[in-house]
Amino acid sequence: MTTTEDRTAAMPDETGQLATTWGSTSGWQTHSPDVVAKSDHLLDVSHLGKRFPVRTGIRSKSFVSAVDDVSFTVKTGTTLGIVGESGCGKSTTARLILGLIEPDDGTVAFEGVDVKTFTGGRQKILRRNMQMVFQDPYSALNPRMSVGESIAFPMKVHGVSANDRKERVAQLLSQVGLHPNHASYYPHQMSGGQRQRVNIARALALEPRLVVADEAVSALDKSVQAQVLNLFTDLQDQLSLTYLFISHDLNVVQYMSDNVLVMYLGQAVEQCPSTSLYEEPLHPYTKALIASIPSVDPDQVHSAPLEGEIPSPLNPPSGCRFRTRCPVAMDICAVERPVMREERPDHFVACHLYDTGAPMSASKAPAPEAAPTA
Amino acid sequence: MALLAERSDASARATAHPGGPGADAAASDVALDVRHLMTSFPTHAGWLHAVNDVSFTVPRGKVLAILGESGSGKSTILRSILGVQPRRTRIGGEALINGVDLLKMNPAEQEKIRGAWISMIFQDPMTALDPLFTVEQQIIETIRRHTTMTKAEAADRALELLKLVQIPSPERRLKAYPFELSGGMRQRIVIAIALACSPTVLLADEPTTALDVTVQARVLDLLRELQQTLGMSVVLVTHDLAVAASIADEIAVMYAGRIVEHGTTREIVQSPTHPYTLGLLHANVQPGQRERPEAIPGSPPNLANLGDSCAFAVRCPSATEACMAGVPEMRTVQGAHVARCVLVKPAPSAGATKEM
Repeated sequence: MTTTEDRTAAMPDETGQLATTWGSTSGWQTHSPDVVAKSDHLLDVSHLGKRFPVRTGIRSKSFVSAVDDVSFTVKTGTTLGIVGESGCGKSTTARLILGLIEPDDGTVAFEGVDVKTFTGGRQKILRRNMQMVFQDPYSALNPRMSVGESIAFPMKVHGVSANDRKERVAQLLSQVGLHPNHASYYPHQMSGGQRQRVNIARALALEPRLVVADEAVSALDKSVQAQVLNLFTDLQDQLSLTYLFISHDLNVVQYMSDNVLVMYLGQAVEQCPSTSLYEEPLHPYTKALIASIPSVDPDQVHSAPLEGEIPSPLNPPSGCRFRTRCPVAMDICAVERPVMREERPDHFVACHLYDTGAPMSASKAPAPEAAPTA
Repeated sequence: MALLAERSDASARATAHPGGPGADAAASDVALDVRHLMTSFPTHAGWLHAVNDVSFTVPRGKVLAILGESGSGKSTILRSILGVQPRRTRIGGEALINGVDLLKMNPAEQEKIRGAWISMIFQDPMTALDPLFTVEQQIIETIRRHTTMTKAEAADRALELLKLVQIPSPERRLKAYPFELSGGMRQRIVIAIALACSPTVLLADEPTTALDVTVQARVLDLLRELQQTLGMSVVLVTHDLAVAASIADEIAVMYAGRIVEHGTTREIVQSPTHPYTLGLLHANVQPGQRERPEAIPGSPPNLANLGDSCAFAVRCPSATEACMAGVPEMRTVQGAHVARCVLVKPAPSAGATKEM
């Protein structure tokens, strides 16, 4: 642990040095002195919604509600894990946060400021602060660019000088456990794990505050997956990064995260500290997810898995979207959509079984503050 | 079934051999007997040995899981046995079912035994089905290819099969095209087609990897149930230790084209002996785990330039000079539990510790 502490202590100097070489645009706070973080929330997402148009006939069109009224907050320096099966909207949520697609409803606030208010040059600075590591290490790198070029590319876009870029590439490569010589390699010369390290280095190139990892270890072999998970946790310690860690693998998500958000068919069903996820899951879907994980222990009795299939998001069930597969569905579930309530301290669940808890209050998911006039 | 009866007199030729667990069982209890299987692909740098001297037996009515990472040769084993490798592939060794060597057969003979003796479930249910034909057409095609059933009989059998794999409203699904079905449903159809001619041995190549975890749990339950009711033998290939542990009776761990450890599921999971198996167990994040997973350093080797040594030695925390002296022999850990590691003491006394 001493090495980690040493490196953590060393980091402010490194970043400080880089900030000076890059001029005033490096640090978030330095560039926007009018923005003072009023809470420790790095990311506030409230009532986020996205619908995609789908052609259902020659003239007819309908909408898939990919993300529907999702709210959560991520504290600085922590990890929020989003878990769910395919089609639950976890990747769409990531893309909405990064501004890769526009939300139809709701807001995303970065350090308390609505990201919609960032336009032009200011948007570029916002983007620098949020980076993404994609799922497939094979297709996320340009095969015609050397590793060094790939890592340097975001810095080039953001106006870092060629000399500084070269220096930073070497530094980043060793930070992610590769050799600086790997800069001259091409993606096809590297293994999947190495490529994912390159992707991580590229995401870190601009010293982001928030890193979104969308199924970042899913394509890797198990023996290599653990290496990359450990790299993620080490980098978080060293650089005080905030992660949004998205995966379908519940074991990995709960290990990586401080808080976990469980999604089903575009909606958030449960949000809790990762320690209570396995200890006391509340939502029937979360319970079913946990029961479905195959166990290494040959003595463990397999419980009955979930019936049915995920309904089509084109025509989601009324009320609670999980009710069609829920073993304990009641009449009210078809009528009324359950709201997120705080059933236990910091443990939120959207289920009619727990209608007694206090609704997720404004203090828990604060509305983003008005944008400062630039 | 007719084919099965025709060939059964040949089963007397099967003999036991020292290849793995179950080797000392009577020949009639062995459904599939693979001996010294070698599969090599031509590359511009010479022959690449994707499967290197692999031997195992699958007892009747049992499930063997072959566990390995990408490039370990696990899928190549299945394809070699089924005879669906590219033409220029070099395949050596034997794969015996009912005492008949599948690898010595010509393509026409192989075609005949597919379905009734052996069939396969492929990984991706999205691509394993033909998008242009209904589910019914595809099942009937398979049945009529391998049996003498009439079209009407085959249609009845198709309905029966969909009921067997627990597809809701099977009459309606028979008329459906693959795109109208969900991933889990498609995989059930693929399983139904594989079961169409009641195979003796079912090969399953990552049958649940493309599925969501809740769907995976149900498909695994279904496979286990079918295997028990039909008394099939199953060879399941997977990269997921938990999937292997939850369905298999025995596990064979593959690394760089060779089996490095083979034992019952309990032996592999509770007393792993090969450092690679041990590493895989520790690298796997367990439910509720808070401690850091112990990663295996490095990455799987390039099969094209494997030296004449233990392929895992460069990543192995307990490697010694002995590991570089040659490919280690398979050694007995205890009973039928074997491992390809120099650290295994030859022939330990009963009850001896199995730790490294």
